[in-house]
Formats: sequence, C-alpha cells, structure tokens
Amino acid sequence: MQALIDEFSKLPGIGPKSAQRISFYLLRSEQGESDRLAKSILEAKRTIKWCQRCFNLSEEDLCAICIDPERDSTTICVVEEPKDLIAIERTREFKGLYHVLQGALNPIEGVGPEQLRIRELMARLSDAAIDEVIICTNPNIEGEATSMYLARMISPTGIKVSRIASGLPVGGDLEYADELTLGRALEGRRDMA
Amino acid sequence: MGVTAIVGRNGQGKSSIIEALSYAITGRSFRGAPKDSMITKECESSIVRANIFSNQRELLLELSLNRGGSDRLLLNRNVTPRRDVVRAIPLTVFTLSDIEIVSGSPAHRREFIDDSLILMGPRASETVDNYERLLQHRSHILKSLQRGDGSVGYDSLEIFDESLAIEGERLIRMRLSLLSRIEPILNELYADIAGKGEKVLTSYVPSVRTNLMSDLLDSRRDDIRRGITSVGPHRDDIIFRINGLNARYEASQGEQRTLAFSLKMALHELLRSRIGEDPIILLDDVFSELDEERIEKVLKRTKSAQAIVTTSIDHQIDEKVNQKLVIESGSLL
Repeated sequence: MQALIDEFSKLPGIGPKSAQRISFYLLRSEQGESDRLAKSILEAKRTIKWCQRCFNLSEEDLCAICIDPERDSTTICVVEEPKDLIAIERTREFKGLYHVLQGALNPIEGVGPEQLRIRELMARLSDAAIDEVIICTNPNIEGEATSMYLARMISPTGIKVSRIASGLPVGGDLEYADELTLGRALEGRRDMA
Repeated sequence: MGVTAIVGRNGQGKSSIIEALSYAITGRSFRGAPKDSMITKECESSIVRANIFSNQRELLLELSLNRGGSDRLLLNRNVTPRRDVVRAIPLTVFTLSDIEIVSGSPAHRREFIDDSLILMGPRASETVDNYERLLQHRSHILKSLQRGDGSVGYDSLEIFDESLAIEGERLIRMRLSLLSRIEPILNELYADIAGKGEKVLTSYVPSVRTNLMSDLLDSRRDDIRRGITSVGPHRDDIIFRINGLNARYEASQGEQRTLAFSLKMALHELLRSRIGEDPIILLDDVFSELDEERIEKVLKRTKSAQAIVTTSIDHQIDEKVNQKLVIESGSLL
C-alpha cells in the first residue's frame, strides 16, 4: 500500500494526502477499473512517442500535423510543450507547422539550449523552405529568455522571426483588466494609420 | 477605525496575535522567525483565520501552514497568490527591529525599499520578483561554468545577462522614484516626531559604474570564479543623512529609531494617498523605546487608521486608545 501511495505522490500536482485518497479509492473500486487504468498507462507509454520532426506527441514516427498536406509548411510555430500546441490548435487560426521545444531555458533547473530541441529546429530551418518562425513561448522570464535566444539564432538565416503578442482577453472590459496585462497591451499597441 | 491596545506582561502572547495576522498577510514573520516556529510542537499545521476590513471591503483571510508541506492561502475562500493578498490588504508593521533599516547592513535597506515597491503595484512587484529570479538563474549559470560541466554555458549567460540588465536597470529606476516620493514626507514626519527642524536627505548608492550590461560583462570573469553576481541593485545601498551626517554611523540610537519610524510612516502615508485609505497598522512593543511625548505623537499619527498596538506598559496608553484588551497566558481576559 505504501509503495502505491509513494508512486502517486511523485506525480505532478499530487501531494501525500491526495496520493493516499487515490490509493484507497483504487483499492475499493472494481477490479475492472484499476485494470483499465493500468492498461491505459502501459498502452500510452508503449505507443506514444515524440514526432521525429516537430517533437509533438505522436503514435507514428511523424505526427498527424506534420504529415497533413493541407498545412502550410513554410511557417513554424515554436512552443514549449505539447499542451501549448493543443491550445494554439484550438484557436483554428494557425495553419502552419509546429516545433515543440520540450521546455524553456531554465538554468535553475539545469536546462540550457542543449537540453531543448533547438538544434533540431535549426536543422529544420536549413533543410526546408521556411518563411517565418513564430515564437509562442510563455510570457514569463524563462519563456522570454528562450525567445530572445531563438531570435538571435534564427536572425542570421534571414528567416522572419516574430513573437506572439500579449494583450487583453477578448470579451472583457478594459476596466477589469489587471494592470500588468493592460500595461503590456499598451506597450504592444498597433499602428492603425 | 481607532487604536486597539493589547496589554500584558512579557511572554503572555501579545506579539503572537499580531505576528499571526501579519504572517497571514505577508507570508513571513516580522521577527524573521522560520515557518516551523509558527506551528505548535508535536502539531502538523497551524491555521490563521482573520476577518479583515480593508479598502472598504470585508475580507476573510485564511492561512494554513503545514510542516514540511506547502501552505494554503485563501482570500474569501479562493486560493490566492501571496502577492495579490499583500496588495489587497496593505499593512504597516512597526517593530523594535526596524531600527536596523537605519543602523544595519545595506541588506536591511534594500529589503525595506523592495518590500515597499511590492505594495506600489503589480508592475513594481513583478520587477522585484523577476530580478530576484534572474539573479538565481545567473548564479546557477556561473556555478555551472565554474564546474565546467557544460549543461548551461556561455550562450545562456549572454541571454540571461541581457534580461538581468534590463530588469535591474528598471528596478533601480523604480527604487529612485520611490525614494524621491518618500523623501519630502519623511522630512515632515521626522521634524514633527523629533521636534527639531532637522533636514533628512536620502541618497541612493549604486554599485553600477557605467551601465549594468557593460558592468556585468566587465565582472564576468571574476563572477564565474566566485560564483556570484558582484554588481547590480542587489549590491546597492541607501544613505540617510540627518543634517549632513550619515545616520547609520553618526546618529544616536534615539535618532535612528525616530528615523526608522518616520520612514515606515512615510511609506504608510504614501500608500494612503495611493489607495485612498490607511493601511492597517501593527505596532509591536515599540513604546518601550520611546518617551511619553513621542508615544503621543506616534499615536496621533495612527488615529485615522485601524491600529493594533502591543505593550507591557499599561498606564502610558490608557487615555489614548479606543479599546484595550488584556492578555494573560495566551488568552484574552
């Protein structure tokens, strides 16, 4: 029992108390339920791997987006994690390809450029005909540093580099926006002439 | 509104009450005590629950501190980031150790000015936090370069130095602007409380020689060898001068105490003009070090606010407070 609790408490977002609750729940549940859970974990671990081109999650060597002929292969959107890719896909605004860095520069945690999929990104840029790279890393210290690093690496190739804008949420009132977001939105204002 | 006094002999638990309140709001002890000392021996957690009237709103603040685990901070039953609580419930705390802002090492003065900036708004608060985090990043890079194990190297240093320089210059600008706003109020308060027409001047002493970016480049080799960042706002100091004399070395203890109190009070007044209401005031045992006349002036200044004061000297305050609570062996009588 303790071994099970220990395993659960290693998972992100699960403390010792939640781990205990989950373990007791599983022990009390039907056999079928825990079988399905165990099988899903094993199955996912066995079949899901990284796309060899963009490093998104994939069941094949190349992910569904990379092999889709409808996608615009001249634009690459760079994100930190697969969950960011999913967020951008939900917008249905972006028709290009992706590159998942699998993290951001984070010296505190020992993550430098070598630990990210940056070399693979540069290889993609020199092999294929790419017109624009859109950097969609998080608007925090680590994400900003990563975007600065990428911009510096990509600029000499002559490929256009852009950074996702930060601004106001749609459908909200200006007066309710927090000062930070509003300040950033002002900084990133757009010319209308 | 008004002043509530918590009166009791030493060791009865006066300070614990306001320490609990201040810990729930700021996330740390004003005595610098570690978290574990906030939890009763043999217990796993402690809980602070406070109904607070602040900024024309009634708020329920709940903090549970867990030994060896993460803490839970709820504002009106919603999990709330610490920084948001700090700004939602502005607080001015006076303690005997405030004198160190004047008499202590530069770190005390930097802590005072940065804690003040955090209250000035989310942009300033973000700058303080960002700079702190960038410094940590840089120190990891320096140590990695020192060991030569190469996980994070010179290319990371280039990028993070640039961010550090931008954020550091911004932090210095914000500190300077805050100091210039504090100075006139500080002068007025100091003259009033000290009862003499003495002039207080503040000056900021930067560690930066030309600009932060080029200084970081110049000190890079040394920094790698020592594993620390030797230049930037985290190495700066502030000098307070009373009639031209450096208050850290040349003022009497009484002058230092009055200056420290005036500084905190100046920040308090600045916050009041910003939010349109007095921050809550906590005074921990500060009367033991002030004479009757100064106590009177201090209490007069706190009249318009909600203030809680602790004192062991009952007779000095009777006439001057709105409410008096007597505490003995940890319970209110």
